[in-house]
Amino acid sequence: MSDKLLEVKDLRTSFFTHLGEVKAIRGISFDVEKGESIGIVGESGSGKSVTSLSIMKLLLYPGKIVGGEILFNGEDLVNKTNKDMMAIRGNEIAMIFQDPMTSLNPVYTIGDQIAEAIMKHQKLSRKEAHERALEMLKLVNIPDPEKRIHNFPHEFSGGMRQRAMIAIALSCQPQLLIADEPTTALDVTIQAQILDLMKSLNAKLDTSTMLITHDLGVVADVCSRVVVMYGGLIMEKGSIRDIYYEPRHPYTMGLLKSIPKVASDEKQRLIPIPGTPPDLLNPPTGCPFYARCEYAMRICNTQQPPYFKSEDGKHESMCWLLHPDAPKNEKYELLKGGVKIGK
Amino acid sequence: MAKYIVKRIISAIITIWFIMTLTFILMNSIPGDPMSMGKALQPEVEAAVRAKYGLDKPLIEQYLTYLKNYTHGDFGVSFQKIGLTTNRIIADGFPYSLKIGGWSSLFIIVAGIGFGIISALKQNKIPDRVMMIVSTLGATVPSFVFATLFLYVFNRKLGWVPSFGAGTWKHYIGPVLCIGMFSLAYVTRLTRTSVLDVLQQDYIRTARAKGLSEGVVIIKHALRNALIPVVTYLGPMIASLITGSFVVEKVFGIAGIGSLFTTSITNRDYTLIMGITVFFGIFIVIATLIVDVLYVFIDPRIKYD
Repeated sequence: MSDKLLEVKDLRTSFFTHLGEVKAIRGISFDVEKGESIGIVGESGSGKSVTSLSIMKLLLYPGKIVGGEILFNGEDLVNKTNKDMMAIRGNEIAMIFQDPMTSLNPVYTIGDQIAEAIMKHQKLSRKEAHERALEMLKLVNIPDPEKRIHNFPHEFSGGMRQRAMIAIALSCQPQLLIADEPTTALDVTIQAQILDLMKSLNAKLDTSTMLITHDLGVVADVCSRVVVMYGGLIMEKGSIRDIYYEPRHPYTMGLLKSIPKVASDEKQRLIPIPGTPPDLLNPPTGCPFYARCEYAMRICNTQQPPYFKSEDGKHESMCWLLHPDAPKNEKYELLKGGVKIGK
Repeated sequence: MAKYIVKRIISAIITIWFIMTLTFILMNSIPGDPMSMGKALQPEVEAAVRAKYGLDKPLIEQYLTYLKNYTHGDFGVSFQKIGLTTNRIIADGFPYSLKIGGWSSLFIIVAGIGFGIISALKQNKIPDRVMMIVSTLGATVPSFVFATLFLYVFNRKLGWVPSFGAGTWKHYIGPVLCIGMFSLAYVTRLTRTSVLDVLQQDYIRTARAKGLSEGVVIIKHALRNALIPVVTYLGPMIASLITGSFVVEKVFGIAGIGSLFTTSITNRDYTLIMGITVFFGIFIVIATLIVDVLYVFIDPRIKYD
C-alpha cells in the first residue's frame, strides 16, 4: 500500500447540463505508484481530461464528482474542501496543460508567474522566489535565463512557453505531475525535447507522472504503464508491453492500427476506427465500444463486461471476448498476439 | 514612447484640421445664415453687419481666416451674443459640464466596473439577473425620460433635490446620474462580458492549478486582463460626458457647454459652432491619446516604437 501515491477508486464525474446529466466518467479505478509514469490514452471525449481535472478538483460548474474515491497518499481528495485543495494544488500535485500559447497569463512576466507558486507554497520572500524561479528556468533549459525571466509570455516561443509551464509545475517539487496533452500543440521536434525534459526532470526530482494524451507514441516513450479510456470507462490497462504487444481489447487494437509508422517500407493505409464515440448523456448499458466493434456479440450490447485479468493480474481488459465461453474469433485471436505495428 | 506621442500629436493636429474643414463646409451648406434670424434687416444694415463679421468675403477667404486665427488660439467673436468672444463663452459654460461629466465618469468607473464584476461572478444568479434587467433599462430609456422621472420623484414628491440651476452639490445629483445612465449600463455589461470571457481562459485554470485562492485568481489574474476592453471604451466615454449633454442641461437648467453647442447651431452662430467643435475635437483626441498611452501600462503586449 505504501508505495501507492495515487489511488483512484470507482471515480464517477458528471456534468449537470440543462439537457441532463452527462456522465463523463462512469466508474474508473487505477493507481499511480511513487516515481512511476502512467499514461492515460483515449480519443477526444473519452474522459481523459475530466479525470485529471477531477483529481485536481478543478472541475468547473456544472461538473461534479458524484462518486468514488481519490486517495492521494492515503487521503481522500474527494471530501477535501477547496481550502485544503489549495495547499495541495501546485504544491503536491501540479499540472501542465495542453496549449502553452494560452496557459500563461499575458500580462505578467514569466518570472512572476513561476515565483507566484513558490511564494505561495514555500513561504519564500519575493526575492528568494525569483532566485528559485531563475534556477527553474535553468533546469528547463531556457537559454539566457537571467534575461528571459523578465520576458512576457508573448516573447516566448511555444516550446519555451511549455518549458516555462513545466518550470511552474515543478517549482515546488510536486509528488505528482499531471500532464494533460503537454505536447499536442507543439511541433514534432519540440515534442521530443519536451518529453525528454519531462522524463529527465521527473527522474531527478522523483516526481510521479500522469501523462494524458491521445498519442500512443508519446506514451511508449515516457510511461511504464498505460490506461486506455473510452466512453468514460477504462477499457484496458497494463504495462507498456501488455498494451503494445499483447492488446486484448478491440479498441486498443484499433488505436494501435491507426498509428502511422515511419519505419515501414510498405505503402500502408492507416486503418481508422469507424464510427463516433457514444453519447454520454445516455450512455450505452453494455460495452461503450459495442457500436464500433467488429467483433461485437449480442451480450456486448446489453451487459457491461467485467474486467478480465491476465495471469499475473496486472493486465486488465473489459471485453466479453475474453470470457471463457466466448466463441473464438480467428482474426481477434491473431491480433491478440500483438498488432504488428505498421500492418 | 516620446516619439510615439509626438507622432500622435501631429496626427491629432491633422485630425482637428480635418474636423474644422468638414464643419466649415457643413455649416455653410445648411440653409440660412446668421442674418436669417428674426426680422429682416434693411439691406444697408445687413451689408454693414456682414462686412463687420467678414461674411461678405468669399468662402475660401473666410475659411483661411478661421485657420489663421485658430493657430493663435483665437476662436473669434460670437455672431449672436453681442460683445462676447467664443473663448469667453466656452470658458463660462465648460466648468459646469466638466463638473457634471467628471463626477459622472468617476461614478461610472467605480459603479459600472463594480457591478460588472459582481454580475459576472454571480452569473445567472439573482444579483446578475437584476443588474442585467436594470442595465438594459439604463441603456434603452432616453435621458430626458429618466431626467423627468428623477425630478418628479426626488423634487416634486420627496423634495430632496432642487429642480433647477447649479448652486449646491445637490443640484448635480440629477445631471450626474442622467448623463451617465447609458454609459453606466454599457460599462456594466462590457465588464461583465469581459470578466466572463477571461474566466474561461486557460491561464485562469493555470492560476487555479497553482493553488492560488479564488480572490487572487480573480483580482490578480482575471481583472487586469478583463479591464483592457473596458479602458478602450472609457477614453471616448469620458470625453463625451465632459463635453456635456443638451438634453440633461436643458432639463436641469444648467448653462453648460452641451446646450450652448446645440443653440449655436440653431442660431447659425458660425464662430461658436466652429469654436465648440474644435474644443470637443481636441478633447476627444486627448482622451484617446491618454487611453492609448495607458494601454502600455496595462497590456505588456502593446509597444509603441
